[in-house]
Amino acid sequence: MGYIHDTHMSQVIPPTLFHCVTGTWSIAAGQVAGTIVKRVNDANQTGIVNVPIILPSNSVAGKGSKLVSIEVDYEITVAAVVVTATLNKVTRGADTAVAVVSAPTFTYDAGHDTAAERDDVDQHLMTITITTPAYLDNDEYYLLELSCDQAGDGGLIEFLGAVANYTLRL
Amino acid sequence: MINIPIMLPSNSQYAKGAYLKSVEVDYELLVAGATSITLSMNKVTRGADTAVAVVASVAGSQDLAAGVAAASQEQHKITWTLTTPVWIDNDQEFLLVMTAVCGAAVTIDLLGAVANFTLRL
Repeated sequence: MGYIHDTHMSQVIPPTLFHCVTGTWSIAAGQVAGTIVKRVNDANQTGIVNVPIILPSNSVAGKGSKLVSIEVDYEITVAAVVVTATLNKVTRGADTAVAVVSAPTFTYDAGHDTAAERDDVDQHLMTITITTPAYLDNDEYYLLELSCDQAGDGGLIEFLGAVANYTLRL
Repeated sequence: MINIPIMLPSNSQYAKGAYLKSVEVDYELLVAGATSITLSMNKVTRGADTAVAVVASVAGSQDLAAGVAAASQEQHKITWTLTTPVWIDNDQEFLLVMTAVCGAAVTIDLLGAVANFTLRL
């Protein structure tokens, strides 16, 4: 009987799966020909972008996917967009019950651990690393919430996608 | 132009993860036939922080002729096959690009796509 424990697994999450609330957003071509993006732009609003982390889960403890980190590729093309990440872990509700949301702690990479670093006009590869990774149960899933605060300005941010890095154990 | 993201697991180690071989697209042309339906594929190598992504076209071919079999008013299952299958690295993304040249009356219903791959873990 085989056994798999691979610590080098990754899953791409295309921008078409990003869920946007508030603000103005669109599916567009990226700055580099051949890329696609989810574009969020509007003045005086805070766009909320949820990135669903689509990993296989398992109902047996200690099996399936252990989410380790998430990388987000984005570009700020017009200044003054305040980008803040929150990781939400959603435990699905049983029938007739609401879902329960918790916020696992994480750290930003050294190039994005201040607001000024996350917000400058540039291409970004931002990595958030979960403080205590855990195997994903079949009644759980993660949403990476990205708050794009454009209050008082006309900022423009384009998301090219995300990549979830995880350990797979089967 | 329709971009179809290929959502397969990747791996940072060489020759592990998903080995992409082909992609099938299910669609239907309604009301009238199209002028042509052409598939192509882009490999997007993600940029490092502060660097842009780099896009390269992937060689391959489709099993239905663009302006003939793929363009008729009909249900279609078209397969695009990579000339050289590839192991997907963790800094790469693949987009299948479907270019539809149509007259004004044509409606395209896209039912979905299937990526065929070898998985090695």
